[in-house]
Amino acid sequence: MSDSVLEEQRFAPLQEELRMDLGKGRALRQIKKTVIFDGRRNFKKLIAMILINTLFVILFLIINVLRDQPPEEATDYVISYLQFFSFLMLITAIYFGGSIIVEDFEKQTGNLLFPKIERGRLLIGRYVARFTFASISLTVYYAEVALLTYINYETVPVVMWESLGWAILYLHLVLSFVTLMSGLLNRIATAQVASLLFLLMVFNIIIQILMFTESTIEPLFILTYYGNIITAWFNMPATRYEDRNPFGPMGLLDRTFRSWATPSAEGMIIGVIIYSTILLVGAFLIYRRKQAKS
Amino acid sequence: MTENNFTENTIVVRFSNLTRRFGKFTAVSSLNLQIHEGEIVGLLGPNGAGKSTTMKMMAYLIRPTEGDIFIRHNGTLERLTNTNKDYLLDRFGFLIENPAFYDNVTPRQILSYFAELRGYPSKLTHKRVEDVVTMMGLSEWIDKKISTFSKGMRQKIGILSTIVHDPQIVVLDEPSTGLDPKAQVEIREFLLKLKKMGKTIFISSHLLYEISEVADTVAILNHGQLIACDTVETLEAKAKKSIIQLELFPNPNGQLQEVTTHLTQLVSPLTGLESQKNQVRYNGNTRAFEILFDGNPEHQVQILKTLTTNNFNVSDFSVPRAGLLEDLYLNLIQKGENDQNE
Repeated sequence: MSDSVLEEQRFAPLQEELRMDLGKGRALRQIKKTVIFDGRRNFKKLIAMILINTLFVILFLIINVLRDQPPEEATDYVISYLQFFSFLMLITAIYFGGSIIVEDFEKQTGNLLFPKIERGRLLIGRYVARFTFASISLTVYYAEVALLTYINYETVPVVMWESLGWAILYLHLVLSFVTLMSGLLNRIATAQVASLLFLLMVFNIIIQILMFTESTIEPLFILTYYGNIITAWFNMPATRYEDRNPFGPMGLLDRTFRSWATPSAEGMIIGVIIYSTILLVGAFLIYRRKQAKS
Repeated sequence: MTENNFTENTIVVRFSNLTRRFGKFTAVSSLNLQIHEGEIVGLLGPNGAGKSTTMKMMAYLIRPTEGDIFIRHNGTLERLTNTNKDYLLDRFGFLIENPAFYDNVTPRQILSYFAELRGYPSKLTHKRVEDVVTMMGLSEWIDKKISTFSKGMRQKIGILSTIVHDPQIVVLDEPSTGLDPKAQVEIREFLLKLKKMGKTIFISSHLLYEISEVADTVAILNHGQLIACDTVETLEAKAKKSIIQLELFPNPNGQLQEVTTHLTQLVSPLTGLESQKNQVRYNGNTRAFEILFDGNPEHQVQILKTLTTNNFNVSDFSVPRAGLLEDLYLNLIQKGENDQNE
């Protein structure tokens, strides 16, 4: 057979009926393919994050070994590993989510992508991939702690896995926030730094301001407040709030400040659903507007 | 397919009164254009003419302010809307502006992803990706990270991303911008190969040469308005002027003025042009003389004969296709500028 005949056969047009799914089927297929593609692209990040988490576990292991009196209960032993866990979660969410929207504008990769897939589908696929990876890295952290707990105490407290469940729910909230920041800003690094500043400082400052204005409203609108439940869950029913009077009961400075410690389980679930929905819808709208402008 | 075969039934895309405004600025104004099956249509215009906006509207990336785009599906022209864009645009491959890739992926990964996004069957994707990459001569690079690729190679992968899902219509926005001449030639050859395979190609460029070398029909856009649209041959006839590119050996560097005067005296009566002023000029960039003539092949032969009989050592004597359109293009653009100013 001649080369041209071979080439003709090789490039025979695709029969249109073979083309896969349209409508909702196409949307699901595009999301699935995006999850797989984005997963492959971020696999190295997952490995790196697991290594960082393991370093933290080793650090706390050394601290526990050097202690004069190790915790008596397995639960306390687990809690000793969760002291910086909220911070680790923020880092994980920022690491995986900081680039989720902004990278297509910073690197101009959107020029190739957008005619092929809608922004909504792309965002869902990427979010699922990155949320899954971030969840895996946090689960590995808990699994390592569980292993050490079992070695030392021959038991693993069930409440630990419930705490992991709250951690993953909180991760969803933080990742939604980082996704919004990724939509708002124009560079990956800026989105990551701004997210970190907000999560570490701005929200805490707002909580302090509320406290000093003698507000008694539960700060359900403060994103980082929800993270308290992860460690508080080990000692439920935890104290919801504490009223303090640091300047004494008499005189001009007789003021009571309410410090909120832990959200309720119901408040946490409802708050996370509402909060993350608002953040993700906002991120999508910004994504769409940004792309239309570019 | 030639011009003569075009009928209402061969139209695959129709722009009807297509208009796009951004605030008070009109990027595309009442564009009426149709693209027939199997032809290469070149959209030509200076930067900011509205070419990319037109292509983005075609890709449904931005919506027209007024007017519609119709795309043939199952024998009828359907208006492009949000509800039918998935299946109508499956038949298209788009390359809008500069392609940029994630650095840590390979052509195999990114092309497979793009093919499947547009509904190409998963079972056939692996082979399809290998076939198109081989067609572009990049098979050795299929599993290498794109971060190691040159700009030309990235552009080629960008073009492959437009055809990997086997569309009928390929839309390319400035595909050769910023590429070296070799890569530009390779891309032009690739486009002609696609045409042979029966693909319809809609290509935009501000480079006249790029368009005139491949396009069957040229549409000229300026300030968002279509100022000319016809086959290359018809536009050439309208231009009535053409350029012969002449290189002499050795190059008369020190006597350019004298040689130009001598050439003018010899060829002016043979050019078929009424005005005999400035018909020969020297182009310092190409290091060649340019002789204006009426495009008539007989006159072209006479000029060559005259030069050889007068002992000119002619090392190159050619009529670049772009030369035929250049004056017309510049005149039309200038006319557009004047109208705009008025």
